[in-house]
Amino acid sequence: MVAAQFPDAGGEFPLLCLGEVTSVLDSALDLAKGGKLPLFGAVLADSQTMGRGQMRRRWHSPPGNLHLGVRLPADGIFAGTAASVRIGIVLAEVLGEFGFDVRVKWPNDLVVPSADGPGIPGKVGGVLLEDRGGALLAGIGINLLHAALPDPAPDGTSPDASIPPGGSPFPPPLLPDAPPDPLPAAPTADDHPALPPASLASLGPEVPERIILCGSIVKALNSAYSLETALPDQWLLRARRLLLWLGETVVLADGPERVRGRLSGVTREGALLIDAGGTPREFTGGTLRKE
Amino acid sequence: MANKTFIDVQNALRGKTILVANRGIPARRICRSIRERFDAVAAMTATDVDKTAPAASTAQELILLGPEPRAYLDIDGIIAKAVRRGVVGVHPGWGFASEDTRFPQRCKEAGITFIGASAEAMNLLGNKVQARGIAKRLGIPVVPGSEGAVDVPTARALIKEMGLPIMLKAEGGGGGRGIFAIHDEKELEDAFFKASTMAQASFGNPRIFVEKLLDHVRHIEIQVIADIYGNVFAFDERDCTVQRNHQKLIEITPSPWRGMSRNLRERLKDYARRLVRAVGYHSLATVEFLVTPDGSPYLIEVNTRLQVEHGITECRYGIDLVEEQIAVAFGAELRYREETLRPGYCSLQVRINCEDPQNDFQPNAGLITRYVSPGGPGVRLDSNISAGYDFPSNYDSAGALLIAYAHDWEKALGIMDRALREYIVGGIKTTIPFFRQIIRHPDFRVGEIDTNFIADNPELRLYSDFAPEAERLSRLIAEISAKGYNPYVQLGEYRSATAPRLGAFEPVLPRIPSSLRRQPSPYPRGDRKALLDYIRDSGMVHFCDTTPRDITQSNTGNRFRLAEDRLIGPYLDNVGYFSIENGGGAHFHVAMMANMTYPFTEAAEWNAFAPKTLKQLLVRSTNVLGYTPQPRNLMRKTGEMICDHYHVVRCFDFLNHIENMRPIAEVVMSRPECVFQPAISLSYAKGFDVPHYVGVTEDILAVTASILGTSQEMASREIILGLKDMAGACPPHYMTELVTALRKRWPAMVLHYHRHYTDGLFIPACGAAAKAGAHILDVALGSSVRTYGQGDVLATVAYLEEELGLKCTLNKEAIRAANFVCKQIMPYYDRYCSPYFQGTDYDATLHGMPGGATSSSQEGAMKQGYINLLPYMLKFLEGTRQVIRYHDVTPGSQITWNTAFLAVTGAWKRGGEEEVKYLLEVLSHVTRTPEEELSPEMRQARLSIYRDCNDALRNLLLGKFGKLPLGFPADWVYESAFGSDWRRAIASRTEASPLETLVDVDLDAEMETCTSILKRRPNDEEFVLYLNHPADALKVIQFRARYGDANNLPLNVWFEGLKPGEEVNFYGSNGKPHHMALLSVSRPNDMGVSVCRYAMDSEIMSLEVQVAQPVGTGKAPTAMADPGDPYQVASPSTGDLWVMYVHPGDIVKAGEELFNVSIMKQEKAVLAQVDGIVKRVLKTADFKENKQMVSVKEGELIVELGPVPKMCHNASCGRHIALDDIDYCPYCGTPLA
Repeated sequence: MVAAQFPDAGGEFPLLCLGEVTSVLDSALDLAKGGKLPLFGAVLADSQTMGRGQMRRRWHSPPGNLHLGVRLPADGIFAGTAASVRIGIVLAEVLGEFGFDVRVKWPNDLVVPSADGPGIPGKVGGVLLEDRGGALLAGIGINLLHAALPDPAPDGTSPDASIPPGGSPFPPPLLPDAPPDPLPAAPTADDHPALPPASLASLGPEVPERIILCGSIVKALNSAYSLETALPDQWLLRARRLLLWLGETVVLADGPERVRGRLSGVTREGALLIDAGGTPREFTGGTLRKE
Repeated sequence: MANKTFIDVQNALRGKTILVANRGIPARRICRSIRERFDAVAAMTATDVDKTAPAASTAQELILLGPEPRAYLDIDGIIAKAVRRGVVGVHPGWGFASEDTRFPQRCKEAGITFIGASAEAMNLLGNKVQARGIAKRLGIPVVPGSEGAVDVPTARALIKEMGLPIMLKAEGGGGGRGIFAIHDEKELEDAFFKASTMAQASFGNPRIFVEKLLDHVRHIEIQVIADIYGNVFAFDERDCTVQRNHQKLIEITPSPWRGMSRNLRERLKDYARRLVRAVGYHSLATVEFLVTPDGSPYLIEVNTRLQVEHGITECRYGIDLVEEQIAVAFGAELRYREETLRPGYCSLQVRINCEDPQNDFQPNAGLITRYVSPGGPGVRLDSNISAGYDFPSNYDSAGALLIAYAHDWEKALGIMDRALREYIVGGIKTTIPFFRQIIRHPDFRVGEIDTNFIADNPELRLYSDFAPEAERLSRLIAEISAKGYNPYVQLGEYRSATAPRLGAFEPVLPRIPSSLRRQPSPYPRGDRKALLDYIRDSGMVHFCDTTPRDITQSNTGNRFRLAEDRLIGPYLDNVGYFSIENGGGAHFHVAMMANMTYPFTEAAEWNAFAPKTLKQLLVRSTNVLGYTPQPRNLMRKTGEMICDHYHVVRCFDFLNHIENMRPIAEVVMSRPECVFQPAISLSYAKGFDVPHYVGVTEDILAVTASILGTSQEMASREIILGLKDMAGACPPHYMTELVTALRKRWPAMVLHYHRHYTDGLFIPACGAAAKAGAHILDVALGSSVRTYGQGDVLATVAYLEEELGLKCTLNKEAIRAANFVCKQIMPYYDRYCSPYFQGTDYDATLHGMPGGATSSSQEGAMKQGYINLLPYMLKFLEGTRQVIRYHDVTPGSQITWNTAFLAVTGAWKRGGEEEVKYLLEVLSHVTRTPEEELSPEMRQARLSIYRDCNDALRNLLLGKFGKLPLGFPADWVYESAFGSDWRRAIASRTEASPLETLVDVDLDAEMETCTSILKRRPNDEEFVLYLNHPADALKVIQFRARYGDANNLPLNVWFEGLKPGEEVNFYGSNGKPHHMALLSVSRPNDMGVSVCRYAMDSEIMSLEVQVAQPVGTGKAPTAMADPGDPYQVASPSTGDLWVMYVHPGDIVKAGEELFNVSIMKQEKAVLAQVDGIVKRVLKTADFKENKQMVSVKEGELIVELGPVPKMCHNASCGRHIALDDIDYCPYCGTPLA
């Protein structure tokens, strides 16, 4: 399984490079369970057969792109809901250092301007956090060379999505004495289409070597984590520069609800702030699009 | 061997079980016969839906058919159960499988007697094509048509042969279903396809045959019964002509049709007997014919079963067909003989279906909230409904069969009408009221109808489906009681359910001495000339009492109801007044809007309980009683109705544009018994001086003279001139001046002075006017006087008599009695609907706002948060009145007030108080300074005065209301009000009467619209109300339909409702006394609904009332997990559950993922901490499958585990074993490890 180990690339943090895996998240979890993946240890795979995004959506993972799994501590800046956004900001900053002008579409989609206009940026990368059995793992996918196929639209199905072992594909029936649950209406695809994919290679600057990039990412994450206590909210200022559509009118779709207002920032906990006339409200869920 | 007798069969069936394979009405009916005669056990089939239906109660046993509603068609299933039960006979009823030839076949195979025809006979006669064939061979006329099933080309050929119209009928169909009429050959292919498909779906047989569509026919059928010994009995005909879409609605025996001769009857019976004999049929059957107007019969089909309408034949002959059918089925000889069985009665049946005839006969399923069945002589009821029954939607809509019978037809109709009236089914719509319409229809009663009767008479569906009035009124009382206030009086929530009540209204009514009552009124009636001469020559002051109108109408709520008018009216009638003002103005509108009374019906009642005194009403020139200017034809219609109930018609125009009054003047003056009183709207200001008003009077006389075709002098003798001072703006000395001038100029003209109390100078002003020669004054009862109305009659009379030495002849005792009654009424109105502000306001002389408006404007300002601006607004009024000159009566007063309000609040919003003060300064400056002396800055500044005005002011400036009395205002006003558009505005303004351009109303179209909304024709009054105020007219009409006449409720109940434990007695509109006791009002539930329980006469009723908004979403509280219990698995954070991996019964290992919760792209897998078995899964999701997530809270219990139970090792058993100390598997016996 382990193809090579490059302790230098990540500083004191091990980086394991693998060939084709099911998903870096699965590999990382295995290693973590076996005690072989310390905090800020990472797994880099050439490609994934079952790369996944949110809710088990497919993340196409051809060779040449970056598929990285990092184990993070579950406290500090990665505690609670802030983790998603923080990681996104860190990644955008790292890519910025390599010359790529990448923004973060809340919560942590890495986007660049696309030919489709300011309302529909291109997605160059994404992050999925998994908290399993005590290990917090960040799965990071960045389209270095290839613009991978887009994730299915919010209500599209992924035909070959994985079924976790031991689980049933059918929804379990409720016992008669359980209260019936009013399920929210399914989100509609038409007003929240998936972002078109983009790759770093199609932009101007030179695409860094994968391992170099991984090293920078892990270092930056560790840095952010360690320096946190000194200036706890400074990152918010940095975040504002990187937040896509900041100050513009956006629509947040959460189930059947739609909230329309001005995107005024994020909170310390990573919640989105939308100003719909009056005081800004916080949101921790939903899909964002430009008005 | 002798034939088996009825008694033999009775003996044989004793103690045996007979199964009725049906439901509802037929099942109940048959079970009754089984129990009545045979001492056998009546068993009924029942699906889960029908287990507890009312009809099921008649059976002694139920054979349960399970949850599938269509199980009544499962012949094999039913027979299997019948065999198991040991049933000896099965009766199929009607519908379902009753004419399925497999049924008798399978019964025969199972050794069960089928109570009906044999399979062969059923096939021969039941199949329509076969039946036709047999009939033809026997020489029985059949409806021309095809020999058998046809295809489209054959059908076409037949059309050529027979001609159109034709019918496509399903071979396997019956009961009128699956019939398609073709009038045009073009429709043939389409209809054929539809018919065939439908036939296959409904009857399992797609074959279609063709019949000629006969016109103007009657449906006549003959019931026969035959036994196995060859005896056949044919009963008198049943006339089933009243149908809809080929479905029978009413069946009658014998036919009331004149053409039903004895010959025809015999002929039909003969055909029926022969048909039945020819196929060896033994059981009941009905042979159906269509009979053309010339008396020619044509066979259509034979029904080989018991029919829905069999009951009327039973009533006609006094027999039980079902018991005979059962006996015959078991081999008994028919007891009926032509010689011994004679008919004695006339009988008719109506099918009470749970359908809404007014809504295209939509089936109505639902809860039956009230059920009162008819009874008495001559009534038979077969039903499947009861109170509390939730009428199901899975089956047909047959609720009950109601039969009436008597010796003659007229009596039978009378009984049926009475029974339909007694029959109350509440909660769902039924065909009961529809049948009442039919029973009363003259054509129906003489039998002069054909099968198109229902279709040709759509007005049968125009009726009002009312519960009895007492029931409706009780619902209103319950609603008011539950809410604590009356939502219909338009006062908002003026009190709550717990606010203290004033209590029962039990007025003490002093006796009116009969001598007083008998005293006639001195005022001549029926001849206005005589009336006016009397007033002219009397040398007295005369009075009009406005207590029932102007004094109590200024606020929506304090307008007396008709119920209170009835109390006061008789006393007022004996005072000796010239007139009582009891109608018009806002009073008319409020009658409908808040008091739910028809204003003209109210006026008619006034003339009944106060007949001696003339009645007066107030109308507006252009709008009359409506809310917009009225075209001539509508004005005439309304005007005529006015003149039917009122004798003095006062008309005013806020611009004194007299031409506006012409149309209504024409109507009133054409009635010799009515007096027209054009009224001048008075203001006291520069330009509105005595010569001005004398000029207006000239205009008035010019118009009236031209209408009468006489001179102005003559006209002045035939009208009364009204002087209308809405605000009390004109001081006493001015009135002296004005009245003196008018009297001098037109000595013969009668003057009627109307003034409000607002400025506090009512009495001196009236005195001055009367002293100067005004003939009639408007006054009111002291106990009703408030500052926004007129002044007190007794005080005014005292002043006139004692201070001014004038003569008045009012009966003061009668006034005192009236006052005494009024004093008892006023507290309720004062408590609940007093206007905001009730003091006098001398400033009315400055700002000119009329009495009623003073209060509502203050209230408005206060509620909108602008009370601090009120003085400024009044100041604005002062100023603008001098700029735009007209009179502050409706609608002028509203326009002025709105302009002031908008101007001041607009200025305030822009620049606060400073800006407002500046605005008023400018206005004041402009009014004081002559045009030439104005500075350019001022000229500019004044343009902001009207910048915030609304369209009403703009329309006024354009002349759309009529000609402004002193001409158009200065041009700068237009620039201010219209902005850049001002030049165009000036160019387009007019001085013509707005009535000139109005197009007549299309009365026919309006009648149609109104009829379609009400689902019945409006009466004359309702139509006039609708034309004047459509929305409010519909409101009151629909209120009346829903609740009845609310004037039957005592005053306190109308305002306060009842407290639980309280009772009330009231009378219905027909004079019947009723009693209601409120038992309880429950607290509102989460949906904000309270349940009222009350006793109405002798019934207990309950009503749900929405008293509050629903609280919350009614969700159950979330279950929280116990953190110390490893078997309770909670959500790790607040977020969305998007996948649940386990379900109850799964065995899980420690560390296994149970579910996953996502929050902001962080997915938390939740793992089992221990081994266990999943006991409960409280929430579930599968985002991939259904794209839905479920919100969860941190710590919420999501999965509950239990300790892993032991399992049996036997592979073929594998069951979980819940018990602890056992050694062997309780299921399979294998030893446990």
